[in-house]
Amino acid sequence: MRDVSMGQYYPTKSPVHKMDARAKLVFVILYIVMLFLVPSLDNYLGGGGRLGEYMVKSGLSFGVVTLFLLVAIIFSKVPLMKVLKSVKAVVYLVIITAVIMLLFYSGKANHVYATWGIITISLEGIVSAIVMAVRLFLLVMGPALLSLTTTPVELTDGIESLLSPLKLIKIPVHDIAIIMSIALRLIPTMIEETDKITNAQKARLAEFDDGNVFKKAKAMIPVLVPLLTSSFRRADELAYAMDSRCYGGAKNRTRMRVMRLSYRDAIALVVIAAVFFAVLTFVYDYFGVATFISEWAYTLL
Amino acid sequence: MQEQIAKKIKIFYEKSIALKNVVILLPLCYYIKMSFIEFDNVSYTYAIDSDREVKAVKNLSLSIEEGDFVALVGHNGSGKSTVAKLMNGLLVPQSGVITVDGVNTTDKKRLFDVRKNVGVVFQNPDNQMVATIIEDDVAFGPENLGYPPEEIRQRVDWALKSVNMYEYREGSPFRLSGGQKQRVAIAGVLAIKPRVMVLDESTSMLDPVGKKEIMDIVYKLNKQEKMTVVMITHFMDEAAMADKIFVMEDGELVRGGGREVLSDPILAKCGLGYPPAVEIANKLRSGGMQVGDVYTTDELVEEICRLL
Repeated sequence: MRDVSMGQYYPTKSPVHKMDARAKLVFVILYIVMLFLVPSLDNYLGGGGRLGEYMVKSGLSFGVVTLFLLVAIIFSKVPLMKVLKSVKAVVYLVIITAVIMLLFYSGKANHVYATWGIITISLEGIVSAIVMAVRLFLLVMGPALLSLTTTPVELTDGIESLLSPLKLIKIPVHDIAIIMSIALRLIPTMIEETDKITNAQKARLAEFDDGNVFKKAKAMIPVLVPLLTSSFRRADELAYAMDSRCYGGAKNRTRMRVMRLSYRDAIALVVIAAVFFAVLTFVYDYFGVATFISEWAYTLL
Repeated sequence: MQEQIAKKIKIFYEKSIALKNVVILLPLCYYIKMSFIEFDNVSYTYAIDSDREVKAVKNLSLSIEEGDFVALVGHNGSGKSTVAKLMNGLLVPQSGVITVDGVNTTDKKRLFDVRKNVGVVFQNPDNQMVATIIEDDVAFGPENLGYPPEEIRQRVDWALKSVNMYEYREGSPFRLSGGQKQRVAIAGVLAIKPRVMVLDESTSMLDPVGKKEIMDIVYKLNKQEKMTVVMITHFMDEAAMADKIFVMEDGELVRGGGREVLSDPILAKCGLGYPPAVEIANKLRSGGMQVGDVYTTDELVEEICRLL
């Protein structure tokens, strides 16, 4: 059985692994914001923009973000395939959405190639489908790199630390964090237990694979009920164990691992700020960079 | 005589807590040398329903000295696990008094003093782990007590080394064997540096190899680190390693004393049986051999070698 509680963590020693979890979390949020700075084609054309300009702007923006992600992957020493694997879960979803977008592009299309009834294939449709697919893939890969380079424990600690200002408005941040970490810790135990109960029921000729959905759901009841009761017992025992190890909530509690920001996080901040600024420059055409490049591209064509 | 004085002083001590006048009494307690853990006429009743209750512990009095290796034996439902929970204030008695190093376990303000002194290792190692990384789990106790990070690190390393799990420290506990998991649980308790370690049937879910691992570590802790060990078990071969044995049945202490209890017929009456070595020695005696008092397998082997 794969260890679920470790998530997809890829254990190795790299500068990205060593970064502060809080910094990584903030950077991932910035990264996601960056992806959404590029407007959709619909909105862009509606705002009076030209298709060619849009292609240049989005191409440059996503290009720079992809480059950044690649650099991050290289520095993290995580095999590229591991990161690409994270896309596997959404790949069908993205392809189906892209195809629908391509065939039923709803905005105003000036470059129509073919029409059959309600289906239209246009350059606009193709461009917006590609932009959406690229955006979604990048959206999945960034956080995937975070979970590949950060253990769940570090993540919960990071979230606890980042959310700690909420303590001021009486939100029990520490309790939420410990609930999260215990939940993570109990997942493999629960899976093991489910396996055990299922096997015990199978040994007594219970069937889980036959019949329709309702029958299957009904067959799960003899598994779920003992699972639930045993979890309550488990929770009781865990509470005793925690109590006897002097657990008393967040009060006076210290941590063995102290999170410290280091020069790595500073360097990463500079890099991500530069990328962010680059995307802004391309999208909002600061200094006329995007215009210049698109003019240049036109003359080239 | 001394017991009577101790009792009187204890009553005075109880009252003086209310008066917050402990200062005078501490030296006095040391003078009459109170036992490290004292149960005085303790009763505990579980309420199952509103009208049904189970008397788990009835009028129990016992004392445990520092450095002792105590075995508390009894079959299922004899109340021995309740005693473990009473020892570090997880449960508080409905009547009677329990003191740990002079601190009453009902004293909420000093509850952490009690728990710092008495660590409990429970039966199921899976239900004692809090974190997904071994060293984080071991650090849980010292973190709760608010030690500085460097000291927590030291304690964790020391605890993991003393249970021989140091090289696994950065791994996840789920791939470990039962014995290894339980060793991590022991390290988690050790990191608090308690003076008493209570093992509440901590070997009952383990295979023979895992059992031996745990028993070796516990024995070493008692002999080398001078840690007081209270071993709650129904395995008589484990109980045979102790210096002091308490036998419980139906919530009551039916026998308590040195190792001679291990060959006391009361064990058979309580449904526990004798340790294997005692059983064999008995058989040999009935066969006409002049076997002396032996309780562990090692002792038996030595005795037989001497006779041959």
